[in-house]
Amino acid sequence: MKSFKIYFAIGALMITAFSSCKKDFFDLKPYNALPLETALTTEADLYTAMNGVYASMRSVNLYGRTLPIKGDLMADNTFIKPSNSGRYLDFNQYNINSANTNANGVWTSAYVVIKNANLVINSTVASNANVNQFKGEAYASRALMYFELARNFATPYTVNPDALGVPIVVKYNRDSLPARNSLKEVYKLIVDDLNQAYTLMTFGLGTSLSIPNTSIVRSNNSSYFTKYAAKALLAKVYMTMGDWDNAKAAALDVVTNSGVTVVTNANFAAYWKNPTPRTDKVETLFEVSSDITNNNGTNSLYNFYDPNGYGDAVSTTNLYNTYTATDVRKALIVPSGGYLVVQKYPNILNAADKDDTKILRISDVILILAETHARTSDEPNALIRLNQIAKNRDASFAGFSSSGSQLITDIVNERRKELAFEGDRFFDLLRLNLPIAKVRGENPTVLINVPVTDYRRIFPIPQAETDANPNIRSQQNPGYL
Amino acid sequence: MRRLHNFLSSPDNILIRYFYDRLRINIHIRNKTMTMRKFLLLMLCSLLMTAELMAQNRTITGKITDEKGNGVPNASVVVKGTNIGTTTSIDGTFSLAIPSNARSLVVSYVGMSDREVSVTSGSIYNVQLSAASGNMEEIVVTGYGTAQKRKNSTASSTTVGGKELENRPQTSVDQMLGGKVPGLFAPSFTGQPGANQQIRIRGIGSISAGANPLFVVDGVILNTGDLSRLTTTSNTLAGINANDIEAVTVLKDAQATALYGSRGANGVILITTKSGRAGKTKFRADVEVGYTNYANVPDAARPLNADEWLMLYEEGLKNAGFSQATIDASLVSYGKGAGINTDWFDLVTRQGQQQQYNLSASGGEGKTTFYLSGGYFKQEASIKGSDFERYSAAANFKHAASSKLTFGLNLNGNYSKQNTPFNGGLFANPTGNIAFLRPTVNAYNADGTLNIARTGNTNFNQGNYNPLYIIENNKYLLGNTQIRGSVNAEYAILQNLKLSERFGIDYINLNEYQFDNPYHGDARTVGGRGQSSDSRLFNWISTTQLNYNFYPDQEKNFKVDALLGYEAQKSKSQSVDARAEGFPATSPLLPYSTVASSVINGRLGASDYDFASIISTAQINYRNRFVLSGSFRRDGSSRFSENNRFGNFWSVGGAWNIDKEDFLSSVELISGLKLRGSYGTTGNANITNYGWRTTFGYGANYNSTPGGTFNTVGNEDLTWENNKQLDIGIDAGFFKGRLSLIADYYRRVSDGLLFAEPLSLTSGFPSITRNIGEVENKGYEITLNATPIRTKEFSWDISFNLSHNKNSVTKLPGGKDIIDAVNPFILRQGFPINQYYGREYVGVDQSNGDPLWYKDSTHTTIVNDRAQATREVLKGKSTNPKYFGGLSNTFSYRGFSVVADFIYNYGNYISDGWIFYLIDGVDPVQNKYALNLKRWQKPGDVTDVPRYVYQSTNGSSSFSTRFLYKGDFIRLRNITVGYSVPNKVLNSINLSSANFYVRGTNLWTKTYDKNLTVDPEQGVTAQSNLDVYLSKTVTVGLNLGF
Repeated sequence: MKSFKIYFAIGALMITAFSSCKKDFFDLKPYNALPLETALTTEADLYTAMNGVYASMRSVNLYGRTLPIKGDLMADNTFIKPSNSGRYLDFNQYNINSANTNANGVWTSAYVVIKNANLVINSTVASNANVNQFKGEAYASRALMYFELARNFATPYTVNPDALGVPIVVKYNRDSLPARNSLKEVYKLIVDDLNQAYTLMTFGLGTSLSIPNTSIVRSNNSSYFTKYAAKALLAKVYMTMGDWDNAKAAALDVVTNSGVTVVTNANFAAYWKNPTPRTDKVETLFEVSSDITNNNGTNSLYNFYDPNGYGDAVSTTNLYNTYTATDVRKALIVPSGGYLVVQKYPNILNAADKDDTKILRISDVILILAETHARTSDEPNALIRLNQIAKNRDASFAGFSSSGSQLITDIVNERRKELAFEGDRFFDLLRLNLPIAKVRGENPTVLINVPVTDYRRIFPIPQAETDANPNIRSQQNPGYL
Repeated sequence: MRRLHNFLSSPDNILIRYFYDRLRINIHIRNKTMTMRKFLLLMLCSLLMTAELMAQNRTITGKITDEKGNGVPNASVVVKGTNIGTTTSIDGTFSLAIPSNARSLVVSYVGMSDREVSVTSGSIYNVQLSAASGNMEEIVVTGYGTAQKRKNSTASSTTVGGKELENRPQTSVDQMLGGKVPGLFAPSFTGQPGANQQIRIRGIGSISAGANPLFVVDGVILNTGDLSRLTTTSNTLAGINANDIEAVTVLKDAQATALYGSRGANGVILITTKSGRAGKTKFRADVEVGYTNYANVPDAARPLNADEWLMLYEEGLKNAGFSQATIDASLVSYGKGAGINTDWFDLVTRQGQQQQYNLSASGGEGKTTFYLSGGYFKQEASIKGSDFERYSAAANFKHAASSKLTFGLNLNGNYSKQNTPFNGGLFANPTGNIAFLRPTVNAYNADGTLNIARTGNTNFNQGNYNPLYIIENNKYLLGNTQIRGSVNAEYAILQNLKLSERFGIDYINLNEYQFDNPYHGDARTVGGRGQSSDSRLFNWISTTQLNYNFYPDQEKNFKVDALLGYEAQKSKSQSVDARAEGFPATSPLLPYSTVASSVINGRLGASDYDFASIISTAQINYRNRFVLSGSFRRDGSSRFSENNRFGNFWSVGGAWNIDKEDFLSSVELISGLKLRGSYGTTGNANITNYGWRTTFGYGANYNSTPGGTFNTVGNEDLTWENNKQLDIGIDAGFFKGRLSLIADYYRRVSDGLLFAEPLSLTSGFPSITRNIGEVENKGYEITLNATPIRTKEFSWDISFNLSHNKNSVTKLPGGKDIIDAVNPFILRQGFPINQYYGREYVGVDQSNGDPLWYKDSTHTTIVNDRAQATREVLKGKSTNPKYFGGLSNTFSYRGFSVVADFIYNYGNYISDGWIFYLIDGVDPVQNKYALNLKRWQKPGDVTDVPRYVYQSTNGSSSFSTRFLYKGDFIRLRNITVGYSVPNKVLNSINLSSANFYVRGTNLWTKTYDKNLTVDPEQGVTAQSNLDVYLSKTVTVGLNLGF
């Protein structure tokens, strides 16, 4: 009797227990994600994944802020005011160690982009024009990232092509611990990727693509990679390698066949005021876009330069003095409060859209063409290309007529003037193996001299990487612990 | 009678036969033998003749007091073995009609010992209960409804009675436990009312996962902690009015916590709310009002005034080699001669209000009892813009539908509103503004309006905003609506076999809204910003259990109590995050984002988790001398990976009441001596809901079109963290309970700790979370309760507790050090969590004022540039105290009483997280601490503060042992002086009780490091973060019972 009651009670309990204990009960899935294995199976998935690749290029330590800032701040174009928000002071003082968060962020963020680009490249979606376009864009993005890694963390190719490069990863492998590949291998990958990209991409600026069975239509504006943007990047890569012939061929292809024109003198100011990606094939070949809802907020490039934001970095006087009074580019620098305020990214207060980060412009390619002509003993064409830009920007300028090393100097100076505040200057000085006279402050002027043998010209491999990866531990860049 | 017996033993009447057989076993009464039949007949006659007996009731009265002679309100007085009883009124008196054959009364109150009194003669019964916790008769509550006398418990737990929690000026009960519970470390870190509270029971048992204990209210496991998404800090427990709490029990060892399985590793805090007791309806009204102010801001941290700052600034420029002309021009630009001297500390702080009002009613008749209450609480902190307000109500009902079935309802609802300023380095943080803003910056314009200009050195050009403008024009609102409740039913299948079911819900609705004005502050460049986050968290839990107790042997020397149960819990949460910018420039400003022009965000997200478990426990008690107990729980959860979804958790414990042994039972000195021990396993499931899945996530959008990235590396083996704990304890009483001691030694090994094991960054992920770490905590806890003096009129009670814990990280991934990226800590095997790691400061070179550091731990070389010194493990210095606890003294003389509670802390080290900007000339445009006035000025000066140099680069203000302060302190947490109005007066005004008192909280603090720039309570990580100053309060209060 007693046992009957007890067993009945226990039975009731167990029945209740097991009936609600189904396996589904524990199998709760997140609301904002899908399992990796099934996430890239259709054309639409690749479209979404490429958006993610571009969005990850916008991260603060890549084109969101650090790279465009570094290229001027660690060269002779900008310095940080004494009254500042505390950011990039280490860059300004050439005081970087392997724990520096911004420098490490370049490495980390670049490999995040590479991880996402690899997923697109390695996906098994059946090819068609759209899929090839997306894969081509992924190849170009990967190449761009390896280019930035090589330029920031390795000895310049022109100084020593046999130096150590960075680890090459072409497929996701969570637990791998790769050592550094050689610089030659890295540049070979970059070149191969860009050539692949050039072949696969068939949509150009101003076209649009649509994904069948969806309502997705993408207008292929300057914020997506296109065929000639990949070629322009290839020209820059070859120039960085010192390979003048290949650089010239690539630049010529872009200048001749892309249909992208140099922005006119009259439209120059409006061009920089415009925060929207373009379909009209004016000036921009590729840029990383920010809009009103997707931007880095107070951590953005425009917030860093604009006095309405932090306004931390200002132009050096020697840069300002390189512009003639009639140079339309001088108006992008505004003297105010004793400093030379940079106004190249003026959309901080724009409620509709925010400034994008320019990566490749036709003017840059034209100057590459000028330099490669000059270096391959074709000075007449070099002058034509140089003056194409110089006279465009300064209507009252008669034009350069220099030659020899003076011509090269003029071209390099023109690059400095044209690409100021776009993160290019530092890498020009590096590839040309020139000493850097970094201005740390003005009034009084404090200089930091960075000669060509200075180990601080390249970033250290992040401490987190050397700590986690025994194979790279002994390959730290010289001068860093 | 014979007929009755035949009827009862007739085999046809199965049900009655069943009970007949039952009663046959249960009639053993110690030392009294009686024939089975006679007793049976006696019992049944009693039952059958209840009606007649009722007419033969008699009324008894009396007063239940504690050892001080104070009446114990709400104590239960029940005729033993029946439901006939009542509760005492607020002065401890009672009146009860008892049947004429009632043999004894049982008087009980949670937190005090049961007393059994014979009532066969007399009509007035005054019973004194012993309140000292640790007394063997005290009822100890452990999980899942088990409650037993301390002398029979094998577990380690501490109970804090409701009396110590009511009418306190703290917003949540978890802020009231520090110093009262040995082993429980609960340092504050902010004075924001409604703030979250970190609690570490027996040390820090986890490094990356949550280390707070589990909270259970009336059997419902709650979602606790800071669940806000925009607000600086918040606490779901702030919704519970502590006046509705009957008692809080903290479960510490494995025997107590293993019943909570995968969630018991960090300890379990059980909260029981008040319920009604039968009797005449009693009302109670409480009022406490007063003011708050900042408790402890050290002089070293006083912000400089204008003259001091200008002088120091000038000195810094001179020492940096600037010309006098440059210096003079700079000084003028910074306001020299302009007569500006803004005292930001004075402008931003205030004396705040503290008020609370509570009203409750409890009563019931026989079968139904109820408790109803309502309360209002408001507290303003000493920083303007920081406050908390709460409206709460509670209703508890219990009904005995029949002798076998009882059911009940506990309901608790509340609404609280909180205004919470920012903390840390955010420019809108008012506490930060006090420290950073120069005294030469104008707070007001000449016309009396608030200054918001941003150019010029006498205006806001250094980043920080005008705090007065922010406080007036911005909003930082948190509204929190909570409903918690449970319905429970208990059915006695047999008298010793009970089936019960409890179904509970925990519903939290958070409404957060932040408005940044368009003119001055973070949203100036976007035309104003309104951000809101609305979260709903809904958690239901169902517990079904069978409790069975029986005597396996004839003599009933052994008693077995067993529990078998099943529990399922589902928790769903969703939030809408919205953001809009571009507000119209109206006057006055319209802060709600309905008027904004650009919608930036308006998204719905959700996250859920489940748990399901089988629970079981059993205890064997041999004549209250030996007790052996054990438990087993099997848990499954959606948080654990498929590979490791289910876990088994168990414990065993034993207790031996040595004082019952012959060789001790005659020793008068010892009133109780119990040796106990336990060992078991528990888990910590405070991990993310979906972290084990490898997923491709969305939301990485581009050109306002959807984008996705592979952003969660996952881990197919991820699961709970494991704990194994050994506890050995002694409970002893001496001098008839006038002195009691509880001592525990414990060793708690936590393994399978979640660690972000670094991956090569080239994989695209920085780390993968694995269960790989191991930490050990061992220590001891001592509680002493004594009543040194007890005379008719005067008594003095002391309660003292001391805890010692040693924490040590025993296993790290690959055995490698992990250096914290944010705080100056290192994780190294053999050292505690939060072990300090940094350079060692030597002092200042007397000859030239340079700061000096040791180059390394050999101390052979001294350098004057921090970059040349290496970081060392600063042995013996961590954020964990070596000893902590509390001391309570209670004095009472006639109707007056004085209660003084101290808390103390010894052996930990604190650091000022923001001193980098506030000392030396590294960042010369900020204001500085007054500590800078002690700087070196000429050769021969002996000081710790180096020469003040404009934009110095020697690293003197970066972390080193210079900024490591001793965290030792003693604090007078509470002092209350009160008076109870005597009965004579009460009778004439028709009240049952009245108490007046004056209370002070945090009135006095003694610290032991003269360099402290912050209060020594800075949370578990001990790094100050420019939070709202801790408050002290002075209040007067009145309790009335009627």
